[in-house]
Amino acid sequence: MESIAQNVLALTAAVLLSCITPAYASEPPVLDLTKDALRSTGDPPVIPHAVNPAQDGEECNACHRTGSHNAPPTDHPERLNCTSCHVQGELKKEGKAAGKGKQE
Amino acid sequence: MELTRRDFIKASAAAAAFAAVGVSVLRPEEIEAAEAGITWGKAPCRFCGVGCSVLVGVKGGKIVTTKGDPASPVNKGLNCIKGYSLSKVLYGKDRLTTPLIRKGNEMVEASWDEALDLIASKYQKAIAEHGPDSVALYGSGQWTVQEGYTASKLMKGGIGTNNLEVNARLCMASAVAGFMNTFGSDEPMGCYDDLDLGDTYILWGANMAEAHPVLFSRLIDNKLKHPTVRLIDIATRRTRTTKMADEYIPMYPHGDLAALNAIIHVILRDKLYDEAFITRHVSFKRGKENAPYGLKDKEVFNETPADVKPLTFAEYQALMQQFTPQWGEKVSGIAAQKIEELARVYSDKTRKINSLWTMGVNQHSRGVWVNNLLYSLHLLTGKICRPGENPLSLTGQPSACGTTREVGTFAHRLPCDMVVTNEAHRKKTAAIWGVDPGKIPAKVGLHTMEMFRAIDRGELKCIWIQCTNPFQSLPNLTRLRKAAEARKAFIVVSDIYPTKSTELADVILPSASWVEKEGVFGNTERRTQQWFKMVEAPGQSREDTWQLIEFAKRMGHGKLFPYPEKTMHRDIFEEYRKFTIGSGKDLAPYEAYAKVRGLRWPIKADGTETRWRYTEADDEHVQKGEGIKFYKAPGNKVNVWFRPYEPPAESPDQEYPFWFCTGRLLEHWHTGTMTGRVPELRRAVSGATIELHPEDAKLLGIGNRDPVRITSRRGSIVLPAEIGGRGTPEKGNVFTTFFDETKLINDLCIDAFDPLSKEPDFKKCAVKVQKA
Repeated sequence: MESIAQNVLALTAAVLLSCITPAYASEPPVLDLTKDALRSTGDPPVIPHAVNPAQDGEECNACHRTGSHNAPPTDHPERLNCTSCHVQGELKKEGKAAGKGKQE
Repeated sequence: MELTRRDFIKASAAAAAFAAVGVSVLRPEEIEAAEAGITWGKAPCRFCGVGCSVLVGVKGGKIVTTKGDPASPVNKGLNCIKGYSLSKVLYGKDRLTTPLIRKGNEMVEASWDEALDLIASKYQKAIAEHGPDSVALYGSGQWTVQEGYTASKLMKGGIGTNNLEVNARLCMASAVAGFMNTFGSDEPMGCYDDLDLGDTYILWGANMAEAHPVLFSRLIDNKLKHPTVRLIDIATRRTRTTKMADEYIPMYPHGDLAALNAIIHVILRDKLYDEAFITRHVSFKRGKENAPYGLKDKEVFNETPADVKPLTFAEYQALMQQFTPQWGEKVSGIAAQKIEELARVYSDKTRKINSLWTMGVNQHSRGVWVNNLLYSLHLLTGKICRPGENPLSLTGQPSACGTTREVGTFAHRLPCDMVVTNEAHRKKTAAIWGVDPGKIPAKVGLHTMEMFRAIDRGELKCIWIQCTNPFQSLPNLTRLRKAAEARKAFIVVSDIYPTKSTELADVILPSASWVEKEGVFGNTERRTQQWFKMVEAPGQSREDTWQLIEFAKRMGHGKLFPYPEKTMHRDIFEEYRKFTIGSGKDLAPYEAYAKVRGLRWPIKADGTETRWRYTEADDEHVQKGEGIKFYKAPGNKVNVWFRPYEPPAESPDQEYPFWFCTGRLLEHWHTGTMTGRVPELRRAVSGATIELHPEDAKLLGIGNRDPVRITSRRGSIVLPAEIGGRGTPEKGNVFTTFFDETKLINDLCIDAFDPLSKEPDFKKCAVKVQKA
């Protein structure tokens, strides 16, 4: 009984494996990208406070470099093109950014 | 501003490098737990020509997340917000999932067989009654290499027409013509490594911070590491790019054509050129002048060998005498003193000079000439083909290079820089395609503007549009939309969402997109990148290659596509690859691309990539001792062209006193069909605005967000004003973006185009501006 169950299990595993590898005449290398994924990020947080639309880089770092005024500190202060990843989101709080905030 | 930047640079001296990937605030165990059950694949980003690599996380048959790919030499783990939104772009609620056929004003669901049978019958009827040139296919720089190759083989080798065009005609055609008539070969000699290795970057009308964000970040990183690096922003408008630049040089629209000539004048006058380099590598040429602007239908203007006159260096210098810095100041708006300075910058032997440009230069009624002049700066000074020192023509779309330019999906082209007008090229192509060489027409087909005008004239009976949105993006849009509404042609549109083009179609076909199919893209720096299919396309949507092949079968050309379904993508690529072997644009075997984050062609005999073309240091086609060799140019001599100043097609006057410029911004891509369906991007930028200079706004009594009516000779529109936002035009200029489908700003644009490249000028026409 046990050996039949084991065979069924092995068969199922084999079938499953054959489903997740791409069907390809000469089998391509299936790159294991899990380690790369672990050391990378997605989903940059949107900006929950008003920002002067012309501000960037150093203005953002005024608070976010060290985390003053309740701003979450950034782990990448050297990246100055902030707004290429962080865009204006729903306004949740007042920001004491350098320059006037934009009211929606 | 100055003080802040200096302080910051000092403070950042010890800061982590760009190469360090942004580390998550979560601990590794937390990430692992959150991402359990996700399988990861790699793919180039679906958006711009930078070609960042992305890690795609799939769970339960759906893309659940994406991340910047840390192993990519292009972006080193960084994306821009569009790239970070990739997991959402394919899941909009109104995704097209069934074929639809027009019945009156209704679009009715149909089967694939019904739709394809109908399309084939319409095409067959048109061909039988009016010949193969009465039908057309209009594709995209967002097509994969396989899609473009199939399209080209079908139209040119099967149906027998060169009426194959792509939206890259609207973005890169001027750059292509500039490459071909200067170097004899398309695409850059340098690569992104130059962004890390150089010290001087001069941007000509390119808002890199928003249009090529990751490349801009790479430049900023270089600046941080090397404080002597200079970024010079020459533009008609202050942007986020300007904020990071060391110097902003404002310029009149179309002024580049004057400024460049004046800078070259100074280089010649003061003998700042590299005589040895010129003697060895440069031919001087004069081409056809008094060019038209493409405003009349069927206007023909070409620069044939008969139109080209060789010049001696002395003759060239004599011709250039007229372009004094004083003249340059009057016409370009750049001060004579600044022109003199720029000549010195460009010829500075102690610095590594790079020029960067895209649409400001290409979408220009003399765009080819401006491309030529930019190359002249580098060729006269010998500052080219060196690591860290090159002119770099940036591209807009993910595969304008890889697909449209390299495969040659244009009215005049064949793969690998070949042209339909050349008999030997047709023969070579026919041999690989397995068709009679007489099948491929020698006559150039309709270029994009003419293609859509031909619909209006009733001469083009059928057009199939794939993966692009011309009925939002073409200039002088009203004329073309009216023609479509009047049902003057049978229109098929393959896309993933309803668009301003699908709404005018007779048949709508649902397409698979990005990682819903296997594919290959090629980016700005000649990097070919491959990806596997990772999720199923929704409903009945199918990839464009499949659509074209099914159509081909019904047209009697099925035997051109004998590829088994399982190996189709590789087989198509390998067949296409044959064109490239030995050409200097050699591609690697398909399997090689699956293993790495792309490879830059030409691929060497040992399978490694080439970073710098035409130099013995890296290009295998250049022998030891030859140094630099432009082996694709006739006689190994590149062309420095004499190009005069000719004015824009339409300039401001009494009645229409403002310059009207159009472009893009960071959050939205092109016509916004994908980005417009991502909630975060919609929230960040919900609609198009019109940017005004604050003084102009004050004179007109316009405040921020006030409705403004902008009117050209072609159309009129109301947009909310944006004053003091991320961009500020110079006085007398207004700027808007074309992503908003509720604001068809291209109604206002003039359909003038560069007569050599046929690329429209989206950057300049005349408007009046009033408070609405």
